[in-house]
Amino acid sequence: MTKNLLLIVAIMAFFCLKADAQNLKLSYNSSLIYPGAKVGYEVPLTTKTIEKIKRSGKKKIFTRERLLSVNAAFYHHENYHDNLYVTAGISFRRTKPSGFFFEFSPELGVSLTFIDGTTYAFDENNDLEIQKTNGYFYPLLSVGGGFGYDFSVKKELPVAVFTKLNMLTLYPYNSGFNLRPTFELGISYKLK
Amino acid sequence: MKQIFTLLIALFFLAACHKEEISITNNVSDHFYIKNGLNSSMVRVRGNAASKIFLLYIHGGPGGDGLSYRNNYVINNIENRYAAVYYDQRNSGSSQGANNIDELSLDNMIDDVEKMITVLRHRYGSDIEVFMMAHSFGGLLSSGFMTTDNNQQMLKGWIYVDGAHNYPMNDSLTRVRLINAGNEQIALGNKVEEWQEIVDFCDAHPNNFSFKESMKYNRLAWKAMSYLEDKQIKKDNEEESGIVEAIIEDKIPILAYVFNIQANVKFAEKLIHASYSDYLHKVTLPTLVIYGKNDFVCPSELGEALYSSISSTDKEFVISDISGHSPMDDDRENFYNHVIRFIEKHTEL
Repeated sequence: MTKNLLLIVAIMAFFCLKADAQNLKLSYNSSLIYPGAKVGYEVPLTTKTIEKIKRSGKKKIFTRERLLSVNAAFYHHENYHDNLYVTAGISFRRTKPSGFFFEFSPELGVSLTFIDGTTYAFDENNDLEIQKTNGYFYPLLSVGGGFGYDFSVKKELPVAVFTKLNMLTLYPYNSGFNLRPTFELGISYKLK
Repeated sequence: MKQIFTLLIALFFLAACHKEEISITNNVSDHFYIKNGLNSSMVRVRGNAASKIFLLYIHGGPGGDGLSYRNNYVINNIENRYAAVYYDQRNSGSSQGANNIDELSLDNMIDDVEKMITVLRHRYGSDIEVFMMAHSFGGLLSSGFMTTDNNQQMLKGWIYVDGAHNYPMNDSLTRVRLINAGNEQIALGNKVEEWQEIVDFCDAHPNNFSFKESMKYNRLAWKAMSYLEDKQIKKDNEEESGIVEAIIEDKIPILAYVFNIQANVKFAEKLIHASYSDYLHKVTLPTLVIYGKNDFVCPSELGEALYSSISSTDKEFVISDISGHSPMDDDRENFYNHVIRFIEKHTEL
């Protein structure tokens, strides 16, 4: 399963990098009190400008975008593990004429943890050995939502700032699953 | 992007490499992991490692955690004397692994404990003395450990606290307690409706308990204790629970703790007929058995059965008159006085 997910992420990354319009995203990405970072690429798949007439007769205009994204992120949970994960997903974004936007983004990916602490193991002869690195691969599902401000809407500034809350699900984790909430605060730059 | 990702992976591998760091002082705060199969169990050692005496907690559950036994009293009265070892069993607490449900068995858990003690000796010296303190489900696990191969030779003493070495017997004894207490409370006019519901369930489910019935008896035992418990003890325990400190200072992954407990329910189903009664005669180690008089979850008659089954010539049975399932919390000072006296009696250091 992890291999298949990695393949999906790699294919989506390939399409993202080949696409014309791209956003590069950088963010501080903490698992609440545990610090981390995230880097990502976004490619708009569809962009629609929607006009709606409110009951009051006022016009409501907004832009609805669907973006393909690939991301690499990590957080450091001291004494527990460092979690490095790659994801690919689709972001559903709604941007107001003022530049404010809201988004929802489900992502699938793979997590690789590095256990933070000396690990002792026993070889086939039951002799004690120290493992320099120890960790596990997990299939990962991330669901996140947040808001931000796109400076390019009103000004010629190809930058957006955003904040987002994500819930990572690692499964199978031990004999069940594990949830990790993460908080993102970042900047997005339009490359093309 | 490819280069960034390659660089990230390389940096992670470098950062993730761990050297062995061992401190043998009177105030250690160590943590390390023991990998066995697809599981890596977390071990935390706190306190006076220079004493060479190690008190190893085998927690309850299945799915509990080692650190739940750590509180200010333990820090001030145990960790200053000895090193306390807070061990998270596989698939519990801070222990980590991927897709390892098939490896979750008592035999593997016994093997884990054996390996963990080997690691303690490697880290802190082959001359250390290890006293095992097992509680509740830990009583079942430690009974398995004691009666397997020559494992008991790795220890200086066994402290058995409200343990459950025989699950079917446990359920039967819980049922008897519930009926007796229920009838008594009904006669006194206390919570008549609630107790009647408990007694009715017991009457309808007399023996050959299914997993569902066993779980129900466990829930009713906790409910019954909550009807009878001393409110002051409960208040003191709540003040000491320290969950926020555990998250911040010990950096426990709180959601993993919660989901590990849930995931262990499946494992508990496998334990419905677990019993080491037929093997306890192999135990010759000095043993201290402590039970709460008011424990409905693991009634003290279980302790009496264990006490009479083991072959140890040096053994004690202590009842805490004011305790339920956790005398280390309900009757802290008295409980740890017995533990300290037992350790001091049997240490050769």
